[in-house]
Amino acid sequence: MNLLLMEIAGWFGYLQRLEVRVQVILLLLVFLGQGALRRRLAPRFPMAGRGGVVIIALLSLLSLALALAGQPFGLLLLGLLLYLGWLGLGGVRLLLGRFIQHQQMQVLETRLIRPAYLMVAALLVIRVFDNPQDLALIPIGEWFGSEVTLGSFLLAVLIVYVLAMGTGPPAQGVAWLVQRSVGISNGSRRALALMIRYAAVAVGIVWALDHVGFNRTAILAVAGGLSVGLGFGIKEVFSNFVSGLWLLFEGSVRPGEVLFIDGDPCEVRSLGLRAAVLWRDRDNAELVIPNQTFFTNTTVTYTGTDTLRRSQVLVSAAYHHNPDDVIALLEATARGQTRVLATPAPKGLLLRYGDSAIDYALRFWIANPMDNVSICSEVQAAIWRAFRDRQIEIPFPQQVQYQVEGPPKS
Amino acid sequence: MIPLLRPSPTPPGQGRRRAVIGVIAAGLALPLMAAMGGCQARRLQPMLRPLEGTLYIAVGVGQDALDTELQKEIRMRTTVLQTTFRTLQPRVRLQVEVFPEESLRNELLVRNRTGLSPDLLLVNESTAQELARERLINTVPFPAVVLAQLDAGSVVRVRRRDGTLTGIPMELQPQVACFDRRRVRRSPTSLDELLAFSAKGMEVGLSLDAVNLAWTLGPLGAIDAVSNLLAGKPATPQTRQGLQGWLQWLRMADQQQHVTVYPTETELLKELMAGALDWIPCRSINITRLRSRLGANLGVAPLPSGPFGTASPITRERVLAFGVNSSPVQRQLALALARFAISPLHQRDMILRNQYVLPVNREVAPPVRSSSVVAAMVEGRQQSLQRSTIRLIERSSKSQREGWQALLTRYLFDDLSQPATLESLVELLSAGRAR
Repeated sequence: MNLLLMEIAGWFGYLQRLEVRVQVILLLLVFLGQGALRRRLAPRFPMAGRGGVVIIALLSLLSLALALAGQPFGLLLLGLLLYLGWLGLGGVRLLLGRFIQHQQMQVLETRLIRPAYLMVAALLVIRVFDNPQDLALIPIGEWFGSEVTLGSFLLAVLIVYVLAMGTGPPAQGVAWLVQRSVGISNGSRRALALMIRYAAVAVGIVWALDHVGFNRTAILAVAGGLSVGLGFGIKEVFSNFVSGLWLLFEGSVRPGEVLFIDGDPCEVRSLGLRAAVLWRDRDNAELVIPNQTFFTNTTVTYTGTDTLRRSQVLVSAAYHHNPDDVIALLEATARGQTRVLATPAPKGLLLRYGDSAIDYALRFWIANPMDNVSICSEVQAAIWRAFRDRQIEIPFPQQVQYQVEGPPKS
Repeated sequence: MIPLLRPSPTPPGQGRRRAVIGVIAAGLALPLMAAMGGCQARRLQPMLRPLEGTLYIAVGVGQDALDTELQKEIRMRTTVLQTTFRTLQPRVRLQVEVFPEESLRNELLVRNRTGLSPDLLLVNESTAQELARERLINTVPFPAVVLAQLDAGSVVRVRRRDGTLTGIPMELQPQVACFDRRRVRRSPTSLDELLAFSAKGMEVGLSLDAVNLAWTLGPLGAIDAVSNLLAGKPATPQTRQGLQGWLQWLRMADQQQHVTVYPTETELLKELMAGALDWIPCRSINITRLRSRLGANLGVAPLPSGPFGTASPITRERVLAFGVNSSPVQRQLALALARFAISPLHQRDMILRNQYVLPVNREVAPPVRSSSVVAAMVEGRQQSLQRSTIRLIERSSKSQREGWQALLTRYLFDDLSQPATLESLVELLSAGRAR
């Protein structure tokens, strides 16, 4: 590690050279002074109001001036190219945005595209100060009995990172192909994609450790010790991880499933290493629930074997209406709703004789459990209209109070 | 009425942004100012004050040779050089970078434009010539008194018409035979003996790389044919006869059960260290590496001779060339280091400490009697001097060398017949130097 630090510290020695100092100072002036210059120029030249234009123009002019003077200008040019590349990422975002959803695009950009660009930029900068191939061979320490070089270590980290961040779309693609060929459900497809991703990352980690040259026996010994540590130290984390895997295999909590949480239907958005993220339609909230919760508690799901949900609305009618007519009207009303399934057929029931009215229930089936509230609203509104048209009364509860005379005064 | 101008309130977050920019600016500017201040301070110092600064040294190595072991070795050698050089210039720091020699040209094209080229380059003499021709390095004048101490032939080769030098000759790396003493009692002295030993089980490795295989041309009578063709002379029956004999021997050797050909010398070294080979031709610079693995079991001897004379190996002449972006102080340091590197003190230290290169300083006599390794290297050097035309092979273009290797590979894999190989070889070598 000392060797690496000394190597990096050695780069500052280039500042002994006037040409290098000039380029570095110009770069600093351009990037730090562009704000002030932009504000000054903007009133006269509207184009200059954009920070990018000023930086690009200044770096181009300065590079040209140095080149014409026969002086080295490569650092300025490199700065210009890297800045242009950074601006170009915006174009990449726009292009990919046409094909990828906004949320996925944001994840892809922040976790893969921009880090990748920064890494390439860092390599390019290192490339002019040092030989990356040479730097990669610098040993940074001895781990598990094998010497680890900077290059092999960074490559291993990079591979694992890329696998962890970038295997999402390919895994989804493979799962989609499997769905098309085998005919699995959407939930199973999402679960399969997640499992493919986990498998790719696991293989990547094993490969990375092997590539770095770790002693396999030592890794096994460490893994043994670690498992004891896991049992005591980070039990909850590990338990959640294992629960997540188990739930995936079991298929009860998979992305796309609809679960009943605290009386509300919620859709499973993702099942992570530690927790599942569920979306609640009622208030557009995302619930982050540890995987272990689903593993140990009872879970109500509407998407276990099918996605149908039997829904119900309650309504009252006055005593003087024939219950058979009311029930027939309720069933007909439900059948008239587009989002109510025809089969199984809606069913009206007389529940009980209430204080001021007869209570009825109308039970019907819907395809998407998440739409329950809105469909119930539609059905109830339709019942009100139907009752109004057929002059069926929904009575107010009425209460007559009689004042009873008190006992005779003694 | 003129309205009263009030400073506009700072937008939220801008103050923090300015503070961040300030910290970044300070972080970047402080080392810069320190460096500038250092330079100003140096300017004020007396002339005799020791020079101070970082000296960047690029070391060229074979394309496939760069690995952790070689890098360690080069860094160790640099540390030794720095330690001894600090007795003269205590405030100097050497920063070494290792590059494949073939990519140095492109590397310098980029580096020179950024002002970050190395101050010194330790490269083959042929590479230095090529870089000087493209003005990617600076040629330097050097005092005649100092040059008089050096090997005359080496100096002649780096001297230009204007009297400047493309580089300062620093060390010689002859080619010798390296073998495992546990399997081979003594190295074969002739090509016949080499094949005889291999028939008895000695695992022989040969490299098809033109520079590494050139040692076989002399003993097999093909050296003149190759040099004539490289010099642009027409192919004669004698030329063809010489090349034919050489090709026949190669085929015969390849058909031996215990003779294996490899693309480059790097593979030979790895196989010898792994115990898969017993005898290989090797460049003397690799002796340290082999010794670290084989220890006392490593044997070093001159390469075998043949019916037409002694072996014709190529001795690599390593020179110190000068970069184009050095500051005045760095140039002074570079010249001082070059003078130190060729001084009898360092040259003697170099040969006595490591025994992997020969000195260029004529005042330093290699300890031939006390070391068989040095004796073998001196013999290798003598063999390479006997055939001055060997230099033509060394200086042949990269495309020619690659063509040579591809041709011989196809020939030994029976993809090309001997007559076809002969004609292709004549055509390849007659094509002239592509550079």
